[in-house]
Amino acid sequence: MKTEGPRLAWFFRLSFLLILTTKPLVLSAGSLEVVIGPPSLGQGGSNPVSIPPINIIDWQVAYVTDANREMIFSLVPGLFYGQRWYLDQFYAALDAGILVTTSGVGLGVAEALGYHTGTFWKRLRAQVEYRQILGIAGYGLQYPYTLRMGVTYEF
Amino acid sequence: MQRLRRALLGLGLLLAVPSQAGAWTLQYGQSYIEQGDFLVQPGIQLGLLDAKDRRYRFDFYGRRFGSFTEATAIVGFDETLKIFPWPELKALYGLSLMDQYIQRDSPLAPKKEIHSFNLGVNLGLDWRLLSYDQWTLDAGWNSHIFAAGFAFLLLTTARKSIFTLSVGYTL
Repeated sequence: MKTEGPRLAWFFRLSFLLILTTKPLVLSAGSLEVVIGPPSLGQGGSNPVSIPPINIIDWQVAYVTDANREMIFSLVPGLFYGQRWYLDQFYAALDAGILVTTSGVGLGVAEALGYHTGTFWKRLRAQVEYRQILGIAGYGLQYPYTLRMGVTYEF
Repeated sequence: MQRLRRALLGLGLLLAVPSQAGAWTLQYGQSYIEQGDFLVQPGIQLGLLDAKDRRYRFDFYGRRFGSFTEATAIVGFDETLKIFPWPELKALYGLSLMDQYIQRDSPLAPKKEIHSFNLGVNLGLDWRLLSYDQWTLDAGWNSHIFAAGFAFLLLTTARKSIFTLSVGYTL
């Protein structure tokens, strides 16, 4: 527990650094999403979300461009890049990327369904997202999933 | 034998009804259910698709190991979310009701069986691979998510993920 806070801080630093290094994308409008929720680490269901919420595996940061390309940064299920489509306040996404589970690191494809509320405080929206991943890692096929909630900041 | 004859007759009458565009579609599929034990269990899926692309599905799988018999049945109702730019690919969302049945039948202990019901939601994708005349071939990746009791307040859930390949016939 003592190391969770610093690890989380480094996770956010690394995520923002990765976003900043992709300069052409940062210059365009988009949104930044921070959501939290327990992942299914390998197989099966999820554990409760950490209280206080400082466990790094519960966090996900996403950067979505104005062309609805999304970049997902999380410890579980990993790093993904893909496209998002909106219908009113619902969205669906298809991604591919690097899968991280308790079975190790591999490759995977992901599908997400989510919902944004209306804006509040000018640029913020609440968000809930379900994401399922199909990939291959050290012990064969993996099917992790996440159910996360959080906030989107539009800029 | 009589029941089988009546069932076949009924099915024949059903298939003989002139099909209308956008009428009901019957689906039968082979599915593989991942439910959290590193195993993918084979199962079956029966589906009914109406003219508005709403689906009624029944997933079933079972196994017997030693003195235990385990069977899982999931009934689901889905709405289609036409959100992707390709008409063949659809997102699905809906409600699910699951019955998990376990029976112990051993000469060493009294016979015991339990039914465990859970209400949840299902989210997933459906991809129409092929459409020919009144026949269709669909691939599906669907997850049924269930709240883990009061632990759902901490976002704890259980999930059954189902991969399906199904053949459909439009009536």
